Amino acid sequence: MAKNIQTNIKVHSADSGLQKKFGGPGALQKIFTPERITKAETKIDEFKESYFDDEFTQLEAINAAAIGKVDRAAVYEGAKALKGQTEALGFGFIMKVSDSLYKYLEDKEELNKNDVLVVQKHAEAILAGIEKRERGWGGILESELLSTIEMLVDKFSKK
Amino acid sequence: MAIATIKNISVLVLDNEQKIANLVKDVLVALSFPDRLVFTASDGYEGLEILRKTPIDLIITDWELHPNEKYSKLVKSAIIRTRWGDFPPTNGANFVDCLRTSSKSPNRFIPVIMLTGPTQSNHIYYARDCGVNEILMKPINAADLARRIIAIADHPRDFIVSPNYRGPDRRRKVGNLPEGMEERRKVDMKIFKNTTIAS
Repeated sequence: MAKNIQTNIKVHSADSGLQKKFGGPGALQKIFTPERITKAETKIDEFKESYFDDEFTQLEAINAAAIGKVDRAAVYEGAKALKGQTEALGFGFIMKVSDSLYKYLEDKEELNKNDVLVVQKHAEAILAGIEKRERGWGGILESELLSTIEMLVDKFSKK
Repeated sequence: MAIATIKNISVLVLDNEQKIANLVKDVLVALSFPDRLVFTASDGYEGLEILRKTPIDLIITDWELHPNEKYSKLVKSAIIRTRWGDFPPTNGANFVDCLRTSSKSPNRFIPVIMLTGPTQSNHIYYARDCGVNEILMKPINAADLARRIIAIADHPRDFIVSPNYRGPDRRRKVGNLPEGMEERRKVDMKIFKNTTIAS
């Protein structure tokens, strides 16, 4: 039941309905057993393992962009999807590059020669990250690639 | 002895990326949520439609929740008028804000867990102020998700309705104050009483 603290603030008492539906206090600790948590973690690991092997239509646009054939709309959608998915899965490098690409293309309706170059460099970096599955990445190689991309974006996003 | 399972809890998972929504669903099912009661939606509007038709107990939404193709052009130009009010839920926090405040909301009190990127602290404050119950940092981790669900079920919080905020009580600290320290409002009351007597 709601009680008035001040004239315009109401506080509804905490509802334990969900707790009851789960089976009462402490029931969830018994339901979420270590075995079930491990099984759930395995689902994530399996998904990550096969993620880049599955049919991934958005990558077609990234592949084409890497050889200079840039379809702005397709690359934008591909980068957006990659960013969302790799962030959720913990592929940090690909997430950073696709985020940069998606933001770069966000307000650009038409692409000039320099924009195509920027997109191409992003696409090359994404494909390199995918090829390596990010294993053994990090350190100097990753930061060098990211800083190169950052410099390109800084240079060509200013009009 | 049989291990307890979850029987009748329904969950709605919202993510622009269907693959990720399905992955979260798989994780929930592995944690023993019934497959038939875990629903997925790819944007806020689809989510609201599911909520209108189905009783949902828990929502898990991504921060990134752009409207689908059919709404995106409209959202760029103006706020769109929907059956839920003048809300364009362009991200997960807006979606929660819509749920908490719209007069046509199907359930203002429903608990919400939000998934957000690892470096977006401003998102966390904004999501909290929109009425999100729990925040879960990406990458997705089953143990952390389980912990958030336990927190929501076993430690429910008061629900505040004020002119500026609707959602779970944002103050989480409970327990005793350090020795020798008094609760601030009690100190304030003493000062108030002394001032009144003196005057």
